Amino acid sequence: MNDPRPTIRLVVADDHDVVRTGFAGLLATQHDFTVVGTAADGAEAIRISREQAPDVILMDIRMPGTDGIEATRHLTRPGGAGPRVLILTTFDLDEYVYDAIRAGASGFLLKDVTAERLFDAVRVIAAGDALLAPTITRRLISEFATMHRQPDAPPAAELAALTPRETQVLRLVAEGLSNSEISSRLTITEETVKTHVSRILTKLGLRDRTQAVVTAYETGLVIPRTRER
Amino acid sequence: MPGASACGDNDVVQTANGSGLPRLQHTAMARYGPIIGIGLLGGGAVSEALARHPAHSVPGLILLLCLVALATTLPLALPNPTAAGTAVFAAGVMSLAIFSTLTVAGCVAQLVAAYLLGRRGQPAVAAFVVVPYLLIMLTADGHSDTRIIGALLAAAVPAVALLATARRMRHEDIENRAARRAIAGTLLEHTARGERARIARELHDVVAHHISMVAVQAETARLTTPGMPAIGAQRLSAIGDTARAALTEMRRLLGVLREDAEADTADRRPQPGLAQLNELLDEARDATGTGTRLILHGPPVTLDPGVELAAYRIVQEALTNSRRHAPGAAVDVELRYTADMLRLIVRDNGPGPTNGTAAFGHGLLGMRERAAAVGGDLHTGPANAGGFLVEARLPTHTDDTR
Repeated sequence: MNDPRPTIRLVVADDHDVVRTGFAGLLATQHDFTVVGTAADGAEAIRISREQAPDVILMDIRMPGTDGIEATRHLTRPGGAGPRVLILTTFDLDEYVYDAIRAGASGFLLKDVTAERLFDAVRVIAAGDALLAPTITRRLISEFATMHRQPDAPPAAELAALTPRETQVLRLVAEGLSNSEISSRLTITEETVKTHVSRILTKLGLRDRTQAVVTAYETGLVIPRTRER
Repeated sequence: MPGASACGDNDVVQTANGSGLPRLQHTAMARYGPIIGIGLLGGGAVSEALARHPAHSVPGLILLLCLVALATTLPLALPNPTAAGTAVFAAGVMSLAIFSTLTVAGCVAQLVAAYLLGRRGQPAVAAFVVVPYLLIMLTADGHSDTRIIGALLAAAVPAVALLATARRMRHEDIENRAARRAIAGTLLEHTARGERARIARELHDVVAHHISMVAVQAETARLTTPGMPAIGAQRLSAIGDTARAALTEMRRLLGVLREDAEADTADRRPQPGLAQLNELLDEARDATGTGTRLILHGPPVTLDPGVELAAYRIVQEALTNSRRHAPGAAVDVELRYTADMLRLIVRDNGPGPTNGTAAFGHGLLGMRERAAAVGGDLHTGPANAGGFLVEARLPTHTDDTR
């Protein structure tokens, strides 16, 4: 992609008008963003998304009728080329975060975030990178993956499609390392790491890095460490 | 250990069976009274024996009679009531059967023994004693004393024992009731606390949402107001920062609140208000198949989210109560909006309040707490035309001029 940065198409879904108009207004101040629609509940979010094909949806969780996590699940069915979902909420409850990620969300943001952080987050999500800070991701996912794991899941059946190198990279991604850290660890170039990561995502049918972390824990590739503290 | 109560050491007389009778005071009277009493009985028995059988009888017989007299009274001092009773009864029966005599003190001792046995909850031993006394009465010759004494004792001994048992059971009953009342009181308090914790969590949610909106509005104003001067942008930034700081604290608080209230899984529905009442009534209709009506008086006004939430929860709980206590009854939900108050009335045409449930049902407790939390009140009771009535009055004006 060598063109000037293409416009990122955005939808804002929240049941409160203040948030819809507020965020839409904020996003509109950025030249690389275009707000193509807003929604007041999950059903409307799904409908608008199908009509407008946005790149990123900012999705509130607590909405009447279909809630945000349900809508996320609909929009991010595996294999589908749907939008990436950035969850917005007032409380970062562990259950919310995990449910959202499992439903296919790419990131999680608090509503009271500053405008600058909001813009940053949207750009990171649109580019397919993971949004959560690696330590938080790790801690959270390891806590929940052990709880949710089916007891007799074959440890790495799904991962048979990966080459040994790719498995190695996946493990490091799950430990929260960034691409540059992985490249130093394995003494390969960052470009190579990126290629590996995108191959991993494609082979496993995952939307983004965050989902890759979830998969690594859930399939038992990575055993969560006991908490340091 | 200094200061520890040494009740075990000082209580001489209280038997260790928890019969529930009041402990005697730790006085000399308590320590020595019974011993003295038994001694007097013994002395009285002996002197009566001596008085009755003057010197011309065989001396050995006198001694024997005195011993028997003592045997019918002194065993009362034995610590074990069963042993004391058995000994006293045996001696008494023997005295009456063999020697055809039982002193007054001896009779009294029989009755005391019976009382002690009954108090301990073992009237059976005393009851058995009826048999020998009856036998004595029936087989004694026409000598009036023995027959009368036998008859009296056969009747009185078990009667006294059962009387003592009845007293003991009554005391136990009183204690049990008191204990049950105490437990019920504690349970009520515990439930009320749980309700308050739930209310706190929900109101916390409402407040956090408001503060979140302040942050969004501050950012929106900062960046999207045309011609915003730098100083204005700074100030709005500061407002946003304050809101964010408040939310950090709110998030901490949430952890505390969630521990106290029963663990609900994180809610994905927005906090309900009166706009969701129709949904609630539809659910009620589906659940019971009966008529549920919504009646509106006065122009509906949207109230503070906290008040709307309280109103919704009160109606929700009232409907649940109706379903539970008056299944199949028709329910009316009435909203009366006035200038400064919302009157909520939920009324069914079921059987109405039964004894005791009206004030103390846990659901009613929760409703009262909710109303109080938003500065209103709630009362319940029989409806005019029969049935149960819940009425809440919630203020719609907050007094901002405190």
